[in-house]
Amino acid sequence: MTEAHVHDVIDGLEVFICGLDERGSIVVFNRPCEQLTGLARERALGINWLDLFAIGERHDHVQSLWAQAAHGRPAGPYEALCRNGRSVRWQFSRWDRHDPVPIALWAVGFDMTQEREAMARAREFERMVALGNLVSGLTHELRNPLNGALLQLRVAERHELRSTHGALSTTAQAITQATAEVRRISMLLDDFLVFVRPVPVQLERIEVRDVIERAIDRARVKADAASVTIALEAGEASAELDATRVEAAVYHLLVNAIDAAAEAIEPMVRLRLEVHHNSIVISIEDRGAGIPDNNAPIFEPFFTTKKGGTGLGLAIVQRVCADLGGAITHERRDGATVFSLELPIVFGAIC
Amino acid sequence: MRVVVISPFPAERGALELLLRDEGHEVTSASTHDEGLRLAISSRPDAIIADTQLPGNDGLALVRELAQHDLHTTTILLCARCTAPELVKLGVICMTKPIDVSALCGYLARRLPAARVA
Repeated sequence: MTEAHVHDVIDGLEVFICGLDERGSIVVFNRPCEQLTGLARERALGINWLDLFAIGERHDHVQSLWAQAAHGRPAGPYEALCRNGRSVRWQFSRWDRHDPVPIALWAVGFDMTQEREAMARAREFERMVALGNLVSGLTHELRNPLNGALLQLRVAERHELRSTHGALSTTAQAITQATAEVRRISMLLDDFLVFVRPVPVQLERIEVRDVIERAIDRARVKADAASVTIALEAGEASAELDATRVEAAVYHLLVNAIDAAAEAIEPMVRLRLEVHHNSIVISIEDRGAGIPDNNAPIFEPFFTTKKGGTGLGLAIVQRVCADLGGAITHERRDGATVFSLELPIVFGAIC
Repeated sequence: MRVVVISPFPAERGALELLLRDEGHEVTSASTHDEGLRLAISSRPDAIIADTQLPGNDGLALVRELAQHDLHTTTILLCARCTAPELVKLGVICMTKPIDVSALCGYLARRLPAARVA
């Protein structure tokens, strides 16, 4: 068997193969090794294996594995990162033949990079789920003292108003402010829970109009309080989507539009549903003042220009888009701000 | 009218008692499932407001037991999270905490006769 034959065999394999002499210098270097290190075979020969594949690692550990292999026992696995960040798992074994090339040890490596990345992603997901569960548990527990605090503040407010015969004393105003602050804590918790808990996407065939109407119902009290009318232009359209997520996204866009419309000359919010051949677009339009600064990071969590806002509404919308493979865009046209939520549909919408 | 409040949380229980008395209702309260059940059986109230988290048993079990004792009282459950579909079947109203007190008082005023409006 010639050296050329050896290389023919080992160059075609999808493993990294190095032949080492007694000192650990490379005497055989297959093509996958060349691709891994970016070093041509001729340049690699004579370099110690440790200097290429165990950079920054403890060499004594590898050397003890080599000693083990030299005694006839296959040694390893030994895993290390290469210079280019790929993770390789090596095994070493003795080679008694000295022709065609004087090899003392074979080092055979397997690329573990993808497996390691998948494991890291799975661990991260588990961590997020555990965190989400913790946050969920905390949020629910917090609802009890929040309820107690708000109820007691109500008692204090009534008592104070009675004693001042309805006049707004400093105490009464302080109670009102405290109540608003505690309500804000509650809203923050609600929004944060939605944002941080990775609930698996649940696709089901839904009538998109029904989902939009549910979001409108949720926002009705707010709209009535701000004297804003809500108009919906939507035909029949069914699609396979996650109803809860779509409803949450529409609700948060609607809440923002109501706030903007409340200040407008025409206090109205218009929702429109359009069906394209492989996506639906839900647009929400208001004739309010618009987004003041085009560079503002409006989708960043906790960014808000509203007094008493949680800053999570648009972050939630963006999260829904990421989960469903959709997109959220906004534009200003003819004195109106329009947010458009585009969502892909798995099968054709039926209008 | 007669209302029984059942809650293990003193701040919540105390405030509900005061606020409902202000609305002209006759209010008694308990802090556990068993105590609440005894109170409900003995006083036969027009409405029961109960927390779903009760020492001894949960609010859902309380509702079932009230039905077994032929107490088909207007029942409102206060929940940190209201998800049981069975509650809807039992005709129970759920309010998620923190509750809207005005909505609660309004609901009682509509359901119960002759409450004095403060």
